[in-house]
Amino acid sequence: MEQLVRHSDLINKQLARYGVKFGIYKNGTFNERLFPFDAIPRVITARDFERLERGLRQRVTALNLYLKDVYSGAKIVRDGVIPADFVYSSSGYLSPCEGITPSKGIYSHISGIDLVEGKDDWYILEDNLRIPSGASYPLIARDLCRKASPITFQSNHVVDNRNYGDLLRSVMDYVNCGGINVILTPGRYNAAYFEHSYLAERTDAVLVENRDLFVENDVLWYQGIDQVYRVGAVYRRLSDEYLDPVTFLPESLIGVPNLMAAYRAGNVAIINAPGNGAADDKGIYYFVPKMIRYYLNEEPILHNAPTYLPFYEEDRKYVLDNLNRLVIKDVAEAGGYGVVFGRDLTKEKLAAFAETIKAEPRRFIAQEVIDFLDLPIMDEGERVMRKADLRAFVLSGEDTVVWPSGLTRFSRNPTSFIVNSSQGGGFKDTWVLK
Amino acid sequence: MLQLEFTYRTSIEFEYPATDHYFTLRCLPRPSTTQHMLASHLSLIPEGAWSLQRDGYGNLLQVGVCRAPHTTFSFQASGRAAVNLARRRPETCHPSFYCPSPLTRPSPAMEEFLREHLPSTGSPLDQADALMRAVYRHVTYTPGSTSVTTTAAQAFDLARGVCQDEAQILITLCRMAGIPARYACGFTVGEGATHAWVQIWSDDRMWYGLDPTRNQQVDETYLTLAVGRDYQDCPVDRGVLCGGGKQVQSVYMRVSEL
Repeated sequence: MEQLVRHSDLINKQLARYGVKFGIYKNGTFNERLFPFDAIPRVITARDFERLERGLRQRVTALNLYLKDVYSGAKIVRDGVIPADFVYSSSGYLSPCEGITPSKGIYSHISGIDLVEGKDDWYILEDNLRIPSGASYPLIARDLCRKASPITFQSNHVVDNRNYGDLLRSVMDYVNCGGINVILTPGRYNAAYFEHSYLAERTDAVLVENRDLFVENDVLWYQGIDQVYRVGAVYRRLSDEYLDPVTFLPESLIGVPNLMAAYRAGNVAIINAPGNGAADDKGIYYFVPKMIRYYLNEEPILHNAPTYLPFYEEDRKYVLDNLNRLVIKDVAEAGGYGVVFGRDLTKEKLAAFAETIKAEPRRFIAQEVIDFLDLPIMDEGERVMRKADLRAFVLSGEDTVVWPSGLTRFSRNPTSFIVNSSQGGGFKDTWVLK
Repeated sequence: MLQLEFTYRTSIEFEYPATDHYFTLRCLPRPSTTQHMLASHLSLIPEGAWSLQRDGYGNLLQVGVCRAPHTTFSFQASGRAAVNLARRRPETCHPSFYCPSPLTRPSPAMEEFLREHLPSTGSPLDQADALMRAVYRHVTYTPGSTSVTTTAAQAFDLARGVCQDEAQILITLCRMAGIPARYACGFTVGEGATHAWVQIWSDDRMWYGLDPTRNQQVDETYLTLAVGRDYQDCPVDRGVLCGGGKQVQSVYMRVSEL
């Protein structure tokens, strides 16, 4: 481990050479930043991982069943488990996806589940079922770490995580409707372009932009240099609203016209399915434990952070009474934006915020602030403790499997709880022990 | 029962040739218990292949592409339908028709309007009928005062709009009152352009049409193309293309009783 830490600078230089960058749009300009790597790994014991694995598989299985239900009549709404308003007012619910059953009935092929380790237990913070990014960072970092310090991996019994590409490929192959696999990127100005190209390499899929694709006779085609290929699965790395300008935003210049028609006809798998935002809305998060009981008839293995919905009168009262110690999240925002800690607000701001909550209760959720277990990082040669979370990657194909690794992100600012890469944090490797 | 014969045509003239023109149309009437299609036909200029699909609301989609350069694009739907409201049957109602949608979110002003005009008794159909009459009085039909992205709340504040706005205002009010309602677009006997109205789901589990623009319940002279939560779910034609320059669009519609 010490040897690994000594090689930190070298590994970071290599990451820069490989182009492991994170793009950020700020005030209308695009800046690429290196994603700082800290060499001290997060270590998860075999016993802890076994429980996480069971809990994550259970959660993602329920979320997939929920998505299938929402877009085929919403029995869970008719049975009164989730109020209709929460399902259909969610900005991620897309009516053009109504009635479409994707290949093999899978909606969320790649789920990025964000967790934090509290002092007592793990808590789920967020489900990301649209296009969760980040798996490529620990993947390439592990590769470089093994090169920098092979002995570290001889003396520690770490589960090999370099199978992510194979896992992803088997998911693509499983849902493929006939034809090649492609990864559709918006292009090199996308925040996660490094990842798109890296995953294409690791899965043997063709990295394409929209102008390489077209739809004819309800089939998606790839215009190669030599010939035209039928596409059976598209791992798209652009968001739903830009996917098909004939169905969604007409001004999208990065989408594929009539892609939804090929999808509706069952001729192509879209990974992840469009419309998944209906299940990873911060408001729907509150209902995930209820989904697990409803669809699986099981008790949730992993817990949500204690969450309140101001939409319900009882919860609203609690939230307004305890605003100064809760964390409030805007359900429509992502990437660490729209998160407010009550304790950081002045009296006037608290009062104003309370009014906003009263006026738009459906817009917010409130959570108890979790007592994080801090992780050590090296800061200019010194070992210091910082807040960190874990994004676990769960892949759903023939089986639902948890990648034995994950993206550990930490905040470099000692007082910040927000670890999102778009907010300037760094990352670590995540070791699962044998 | 009425037999209706219909012709609907949209033509777009381009300043420069357009290419890679992808389209998804909803210009053929949707089959339903009260609307039986005896014949239906779609012709395209330039001629080209298209496929027939069905969306989640049971509407028919005509999907295709015209890749070659063209300066005119035209589609013509025609056919015959038998409309028979006596064949109305109980149906299920999609839960989303109970809830606000992007263009039908309530506003405080509409809440007040609802309190004032919602009868305290009567069937959902009677209540919706009373609301329809109130909307008809509130909104002055004014072409050009709104656009396809105008929300119900905006049109309500303006107190002006076209059939789309009046339909969306009535839908919003019905849903606020707990009456499931959906947007319908289609043709009515006569000449002109497409029309929009409202369907509500009453306590006998059947759908009834209400036309707030004409202040009347829908009869057998109405032919439904598509239904959805609001206008966005049932556009008659959507497309994207390359080139083309300025476009001039013309629409022809004629429906007659046989």
